[in-house]
Amino acid sequence: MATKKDLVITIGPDGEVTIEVEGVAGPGCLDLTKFLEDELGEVTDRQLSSAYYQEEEEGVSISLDGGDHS
Amino acid sequence: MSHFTSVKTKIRDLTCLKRALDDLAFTYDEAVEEQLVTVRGYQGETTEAVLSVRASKTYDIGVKATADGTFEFVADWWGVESTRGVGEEEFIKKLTQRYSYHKVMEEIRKKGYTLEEEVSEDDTIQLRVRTWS
Repeated sequence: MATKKDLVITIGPDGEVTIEVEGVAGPGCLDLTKFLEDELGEVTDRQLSSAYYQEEEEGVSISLDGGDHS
Repeated sequence: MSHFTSVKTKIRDLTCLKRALDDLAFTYDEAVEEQLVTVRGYQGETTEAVLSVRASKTYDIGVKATADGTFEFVADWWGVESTRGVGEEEFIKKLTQRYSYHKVMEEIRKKGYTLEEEVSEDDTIQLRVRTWS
């Protein structure tokens, strides 16, 4: 089943970009923003909320773009 | 939500940079193959660059490629500011914002993701992008 996740991307007046992932728990959200981080520039800050450390629910796939997560 | 990432943009994509210049209503000459274009500075001094942005009748802003793959800007900023009314810091900030916008849109398009919402407020652009997996 497809899983919907939203990225909220904020571009500040000086061009700095902040990317927030909604609707995903666990380390998968780091993969979800990598494509933008790599192309845009250099990561200066990363803040993980408690959701990152929660166990993923069973049966929810966070595999992305042929990544090796299951 | 589970994480925030902040990214400092590096200008490495000439196509997106040109789109950003278009947004800010700057015209420019572009190097063809290895033939660089002339950038005009103080009292007829010149240098050469990949792009020469026509800041005013007498001053240009040069876009030069650097060894690490990013582009840098060279100009007589005093001359640019006194003839165009835009200083170095303001120029680079505005250009970087428009560049970031075009770069994000391009990468989203490549991934096949959809833009759900675009809001501009207080000089900040917010994009909501839907992804599927």
